[in-house]
Amino acid sequence: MSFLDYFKTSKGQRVVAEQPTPDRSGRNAIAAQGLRSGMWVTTSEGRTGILMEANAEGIADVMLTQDDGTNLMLVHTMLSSLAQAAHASIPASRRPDADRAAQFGYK
Amino acid sequence: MTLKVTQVGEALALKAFLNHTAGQDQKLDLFATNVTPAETDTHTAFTAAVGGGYAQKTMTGSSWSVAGPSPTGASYAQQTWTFTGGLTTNATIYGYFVTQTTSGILMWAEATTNFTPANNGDQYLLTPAITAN
Repeated sequence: MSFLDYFKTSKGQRVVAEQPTPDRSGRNAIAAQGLRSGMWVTTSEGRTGILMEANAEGIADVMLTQDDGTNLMLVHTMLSSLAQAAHASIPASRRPDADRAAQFGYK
Repeated sequence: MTLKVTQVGEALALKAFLNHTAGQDQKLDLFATNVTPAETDTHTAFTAAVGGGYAQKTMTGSSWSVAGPSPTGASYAQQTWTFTGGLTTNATIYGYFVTQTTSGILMWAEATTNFTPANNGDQYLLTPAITAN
């Protein structure tokens, strides 16, 4: 499921942002690596982030996170270089309990 | 950015589809922390906006419009927040999140372009929509 469009106005200034069309080939590329959009992942440099999306060429957008779970920076990296994050590497404030995490492959 | 249906939200959607568990009306909040929604998130991952005239919205199930065919999509009437000034805790809106009214379970969330209300009359307009594909 995806797609939402939104508008913002500020004192007569209107900004319109349009949701890009979902890229099914990108989703397929993510699935082919055994990953999921929204998954906590670890990069080849050992940094933890959230896999946002990918394109058909296997380039992934990953939002690296800080220790408090907030955004650090967006990086573009090869999907093949990513791995599902370990449970302990998920920021504590956003870390699910071990049992629930294990159901989704976080060990 | 793409909205993220959480793992728990996904399970609830399937349960409603199968008449295992009835769905619920939903609450719509804007979040004011700079986070990217993740599949394991619960509502505690998000801090709702506070101050500046901000108020949570309710989305009633029967008020959604569903249209198809494939992909079938649902949309809701545009929601408008009109601010009286700046937010009081965290100043910037980073996205929105949707929870069930009774259970409080997080269904989905999406990061959007940042917006910092500052003046009386500033508005944030959101048209909720979701597509199954």
